[in-house]
Amino acid sequence: MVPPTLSRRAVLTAATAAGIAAATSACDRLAGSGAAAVPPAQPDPLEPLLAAELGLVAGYEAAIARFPGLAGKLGPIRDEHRKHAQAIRATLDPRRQTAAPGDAKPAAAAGASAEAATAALAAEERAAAGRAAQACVTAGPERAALLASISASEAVHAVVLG
Amino acid sequence: MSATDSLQAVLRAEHAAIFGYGALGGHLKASRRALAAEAERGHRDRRDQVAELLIAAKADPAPPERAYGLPAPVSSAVGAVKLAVLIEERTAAAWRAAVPQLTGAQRSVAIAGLTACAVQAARWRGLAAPGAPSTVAFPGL
Repeated sequence: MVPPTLSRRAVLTAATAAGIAAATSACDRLAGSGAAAVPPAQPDPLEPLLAAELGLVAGYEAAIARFPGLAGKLGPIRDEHRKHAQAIRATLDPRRQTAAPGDAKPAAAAGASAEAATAALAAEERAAAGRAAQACVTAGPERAALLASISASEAVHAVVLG
Repeated sequence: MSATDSLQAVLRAEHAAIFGYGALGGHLKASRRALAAEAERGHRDRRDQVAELLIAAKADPAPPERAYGLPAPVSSAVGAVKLAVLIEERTAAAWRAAVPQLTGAQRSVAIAGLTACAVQAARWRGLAAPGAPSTVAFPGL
């Protein structure tokens, strides 16, 4: 029997950004302090989506590096995620942006075979499509169409990767 | 554009899509007719869904035209597949345009409509140009 080797698989590191809530707690009023309370900066709901897009780009890069024969199929999809990231970034307030390409960790583990790597990416695409659709439903009208297109694009990727 | 107007625009696009599939169906290779039938069924289902949303909003659903102009006459299997790509891209665009005008459950319907058309567009593109990328970064744009 081969011992299990999956224990250290990267697990959706991109999603951790979503879990970072701005937990700035208001200080108790200091006696004698006349300073107005500064409202805590609300995280932009698209920050985790940007991180997830960069994670997907990294996931495709990792899969292509490991299985170069997949480059023709995966390269164009990776490029579409770069365009998603670019478009999301353009809607964010530049003073608050945190995610950068260097921060990205692959969303999906590369997999033991080309088929496994492709299947893992397809699963990531389905999850990403769901997150983008969820963000779309609660987004303002100025962002909703972009998020709908990103969700649809990712659903298509999942189908194409089959 | 109001929510009702955007749903009417989607409905008109779905009517035109159903007409388009009727026009191209006979030119497809036999092996592609199942995909066309599935796609057309999707357009009929969404047409009915949008009509119901309009009726619920006390609006009269736009009726279909008797005929729609095609971008080019369809006379071959290749032309039929190209038209199918265009039909899906146009309906995808109508759904995408409706998204910002709608809220809540109606917006979810629009996302699903956009997604379904985008999937079919990619399938037809894959048949139109095997081996070339069949996806686009921003469906409906």
